[in-house]
Amino acid sequence: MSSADDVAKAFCQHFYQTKDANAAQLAGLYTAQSVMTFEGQQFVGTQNIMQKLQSVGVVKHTVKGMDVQPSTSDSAILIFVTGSVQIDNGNPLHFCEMFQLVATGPGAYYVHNDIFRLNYGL
Amino acid sequence: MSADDVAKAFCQHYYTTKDSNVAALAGLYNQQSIMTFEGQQFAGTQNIMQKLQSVGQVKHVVKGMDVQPSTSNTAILIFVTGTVQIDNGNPLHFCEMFQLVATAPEAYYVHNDIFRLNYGL
Repeated sequence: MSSADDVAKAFCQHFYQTKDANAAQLAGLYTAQSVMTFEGQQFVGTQNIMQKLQSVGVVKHTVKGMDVQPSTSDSAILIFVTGSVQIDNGNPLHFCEMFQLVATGPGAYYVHNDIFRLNYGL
Repeated sequence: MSADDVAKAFCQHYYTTKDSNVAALAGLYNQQSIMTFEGQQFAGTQNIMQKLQSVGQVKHVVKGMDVQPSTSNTAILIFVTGTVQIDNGNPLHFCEMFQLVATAPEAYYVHNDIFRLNYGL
């Protein structure tokens, strides 16, 4: 059985690699219950979320930090990621993103919550 | 109060208090609370408060706040981005997430708290 840390590590690796290479393949991680906020705009359900993710352009993420905590039940995990991202080969920008993964079965998680923000300007 | 209203009120209170009198944050946490600060995890009010009080003088400027319902209607997720000065140093980017859980109508505690600085490119 994977610990929450193992699940989170595997999830992050898969999520960012897929997001960078072929965003369409992220669809299976979301469901009708999923809520994603991207730079302040909220999208609900796989279709709306995927439409947004596929509109962002070419992205390349570098993950620098990942924190994991148990959520309010043992079938839910919170993951907090910080790092940098290049959009359409631009300058790297700081980003942070949080996920709440919920298990539908042993080892089978979907993304219930996803919030992404760039962190720029001082 | 809507989740957005709760989150707005919480953030305002949280950062104002953190900047002026961090000890007064104790009532927001309990035995179940977990806080991760720059990669180190602390569980329960005592450990969390010990860490928060050791950070030094801080001044936060909140730039973004996103709110989502968590997995039940008594829990809210809040995601904050902004800048922070530690001991009057240069402002640094930070991001912080909270999961608030209601113990009774409008009475929330912080179940999860994760804080990270976001520096270096």
